[in-house]
Amino acid sequence: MTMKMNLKFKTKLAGVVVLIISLLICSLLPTLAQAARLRTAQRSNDAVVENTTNRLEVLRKKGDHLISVRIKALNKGISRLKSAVRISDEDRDSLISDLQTNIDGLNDLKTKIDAETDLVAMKSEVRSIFVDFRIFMVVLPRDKGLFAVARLNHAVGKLENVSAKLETAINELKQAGKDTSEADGYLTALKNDLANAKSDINQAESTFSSMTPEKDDEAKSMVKSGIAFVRAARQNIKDAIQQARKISTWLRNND
Amino acid sequence: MVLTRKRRVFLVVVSFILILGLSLAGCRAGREAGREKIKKAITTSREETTATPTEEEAEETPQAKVITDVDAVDDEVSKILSEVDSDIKEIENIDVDSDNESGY
Repeated sequence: MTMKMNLKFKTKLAGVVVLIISLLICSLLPTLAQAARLRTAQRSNDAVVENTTNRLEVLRKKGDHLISVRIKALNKGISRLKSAVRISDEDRDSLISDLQTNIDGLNDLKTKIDAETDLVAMKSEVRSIFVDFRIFMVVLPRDKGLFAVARLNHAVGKLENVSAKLETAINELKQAGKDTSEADGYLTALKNDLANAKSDINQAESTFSSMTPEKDDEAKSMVKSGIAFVRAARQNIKDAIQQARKISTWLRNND
Repeated sequence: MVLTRKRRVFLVVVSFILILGLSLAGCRAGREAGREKIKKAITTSREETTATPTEEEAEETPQAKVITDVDAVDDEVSKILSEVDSDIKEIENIDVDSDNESGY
């Protein structure tokens, strides 16, 4: 009887213990869940911070490389302009100044990128290398085009000078009683070729000068158009020098 | 004063030598003067000879010089046109698409 009673008591006690343990577990569950959530959030936050830092570094390296490539190309342009002999000092100085302005701008941007800690701002600054400068799309084609224009202007100046001298020589022979109609014809052609060359040069200059980073969608067509004018001017100058040679030969034979 | 024969002969000989000497000296001086004159004349003549073509050249200068100028300009302009060709090629070879931000 006593044994039976003892067993019953033990069973009840065990039930109470199980109940208490269950209650304890149930009361701890929200706390445990909260702790787990916090741990996960912390891990996630750490991952985000690490990812942001990595992304900043990647963009910084990318930006520095993009700027370095562009500055190198611009410096090459300056070096070529400095060694060019057949352009005016005014044209040379103007083109060097434009290239230098872009180099200075890119160096300022590099300083910003190197010090940037905000990912959104960094993205915007790297994008600015393309959007605000357009070195390969606008600046280099434009300045190289204007360099060609400066060379052509120099050639036209030389030809205009020699054209005036040829005219004087022909007129002297005309006054001496020579028939200069053949030479006059060549001289007229020479003057026409020079006038056409000047017109083409002006249009090429106007086309290249109007290229800006803001008009990036028009850049390709403008370069194409500018080159077409340069080619036309080149051909007119070539024709003009041929007319000058004809007059020279005529003078040699009629002097 | 009566001169002896010996003295008369002596005086004649001395006079003859003096006259001969003076004559020779005169001839020599004349010859030198003549040489100088001839030298001067040759120099003047040479100067005139060289001066004449220069004047002629000066008359030819406008035509001859302009022919030389045309040759010089022809040479220089040919170089410029060749440089312009290189400029055009360089512009055409620029990789404009490397400035396209969509790829970064």
